[in-house]
Amino acid sequence: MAEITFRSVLLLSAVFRVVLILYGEWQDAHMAVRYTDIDYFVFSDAAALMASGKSPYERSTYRYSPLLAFLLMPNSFLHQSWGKFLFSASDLLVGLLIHRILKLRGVPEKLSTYSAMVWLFNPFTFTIGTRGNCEPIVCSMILWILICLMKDNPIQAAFWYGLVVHLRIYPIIYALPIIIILDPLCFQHSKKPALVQWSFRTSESSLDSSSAEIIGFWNFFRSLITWRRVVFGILSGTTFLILTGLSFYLYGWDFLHEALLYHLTRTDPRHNFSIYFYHIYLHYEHEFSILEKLISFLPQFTVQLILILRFAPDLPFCLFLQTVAFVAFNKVITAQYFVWFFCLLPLILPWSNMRLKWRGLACVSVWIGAQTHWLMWGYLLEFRGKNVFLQLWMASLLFLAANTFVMINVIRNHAFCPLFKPSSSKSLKDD
Amino acid sequence: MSLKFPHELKRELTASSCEVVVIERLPSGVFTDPFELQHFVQRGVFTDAAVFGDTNLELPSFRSNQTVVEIHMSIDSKVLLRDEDESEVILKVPLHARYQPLGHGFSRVEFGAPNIFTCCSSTEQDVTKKLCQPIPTSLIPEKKASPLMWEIPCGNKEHAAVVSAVTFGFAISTALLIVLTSVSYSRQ
Repeated sequence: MAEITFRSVLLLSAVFRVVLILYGEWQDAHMAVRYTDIDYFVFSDAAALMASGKSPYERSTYRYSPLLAFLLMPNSFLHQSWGKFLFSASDLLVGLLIHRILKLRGVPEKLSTYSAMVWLFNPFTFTIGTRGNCEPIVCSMILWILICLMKDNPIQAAFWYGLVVHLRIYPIIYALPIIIILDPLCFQHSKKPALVQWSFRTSESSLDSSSAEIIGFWNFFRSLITWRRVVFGILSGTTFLILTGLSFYLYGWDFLHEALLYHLTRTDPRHNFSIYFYHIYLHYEHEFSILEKLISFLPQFTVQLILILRFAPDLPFCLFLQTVAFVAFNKVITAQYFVWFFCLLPLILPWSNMRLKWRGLACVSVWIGAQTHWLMWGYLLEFRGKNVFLQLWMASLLFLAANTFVMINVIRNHAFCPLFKPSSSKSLKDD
Repeated sequence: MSLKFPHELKRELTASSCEVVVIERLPSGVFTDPFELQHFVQRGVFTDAAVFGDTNLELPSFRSNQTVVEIHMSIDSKVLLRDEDESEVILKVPLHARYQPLGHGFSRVEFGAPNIFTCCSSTEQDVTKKLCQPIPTSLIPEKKASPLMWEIPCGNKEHAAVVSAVTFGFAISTALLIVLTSVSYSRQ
């Protein structure tokens, strides 16, 4: 049997995505049910409006940065599938970056390739780009930010971070762990930070426990003001403000409301995977009190804080857990949000002690099973007109339980491995 | 929706280029997606379509206003040329239900009868004229029948207290489990 190389995997993935895009065009033209995501038509319409000098926000339900419409302007004058090719190319880039990050951390070639395949051959991810969903662009930016941090390039990391938060607000949850990881103990003067290699995870004493604790909460406050942290904070904030300010200058309150405020204040009474949907629907006729809003935010906030405090030094692992928790405890959950943590999953697999048989398969089955169970009730409500609100809500509780089950198993079977090796010197003098 | 055309009207219609125009005032619990209608126009199912009024697709019915939908559909001359006493034209419009006010089980939404016109174009001495006239109600079977009802599932107010308590309790419990697992995790 021929050995699988990463190059052949990438090539096969590319061909497969081109075939899917072409098939999607055929299905859209010949079948009542379209392959293309409804969001793609929203992006395309907004891009067409922008191309004709109008505001993209004249297209109802366009709730994204004008940058996205700008990227899709060739849909109007080149080909309607331009955007799909762009998103699928980003999807392939995610696979490439996953492989790159794992190689930088010393993961063997074969394991890196198999981990990248978890993204490249995941049915969920290869359909999302080919159907015209823009999430792969966001995922590729986040992975690029990781690479910039690993190569001690905080300026570039900051620029991309400001840009990605402008595009999609959710990466704001990564701000604190990124600031924590820019620990002066890990950065020696005029030397690139040493990355902890994959082989460390079986080593007995190369990184002692006291060092692991030093990279953490207490040291964060002791050495809060360092040039890397300041540069990252100011530059990413400035990038975000410039892009947001420019968008506001061009498109006014429509942009602010649709692209920013809508996502920050969104409460959707319509059914979705979130456990809060039925509660929101049952109380939609009156305003939520401050106490109700606080109580619903508390689980999310607490989980995020604890995950950051415990796992920030192992940055890819921390980001993965944060994203799963963020999606699971959010007031609205749609299927496209799952891509946000799917792109981070391959980065933690080489450090997992969980065997596919049978704990790994159990996690996959429980997660998919809970989702399928929810979809069944959703189908009965939406397409059959059955009153199954209570059952659908209970299915969403089960889905949260499934997410919790997966998170607990992932945490328990993870070999903690900080991203950076602290310097042997205990000096806190910043360079 | 089906329309029946008797012989006399068919003769008139086949003489010119005609289309049926249907104007339906939708009840507040129902909406039609203007982009979905445009897709039908692009595929040639309708010659034109428009939605007037509240086009926010996401609002529940108690926060939305009524909409009016107007559909233009050309009448295939083959249908009219069939040698039958009556020819039937069927028009299908995709409708979606909004989330209904809370109640018990189902919320009943009643559809009023549409206004239907035939619009025919004729060219005389290089001048194109378009004449629209309402179709006699006797030709619309649905108008004679009882009003059309749609039973849409709605949330139950009686569930509110239990759902809220269990939702928040569940969220806090699962969050606590994750917190405990994280805190008890050993980095060794």
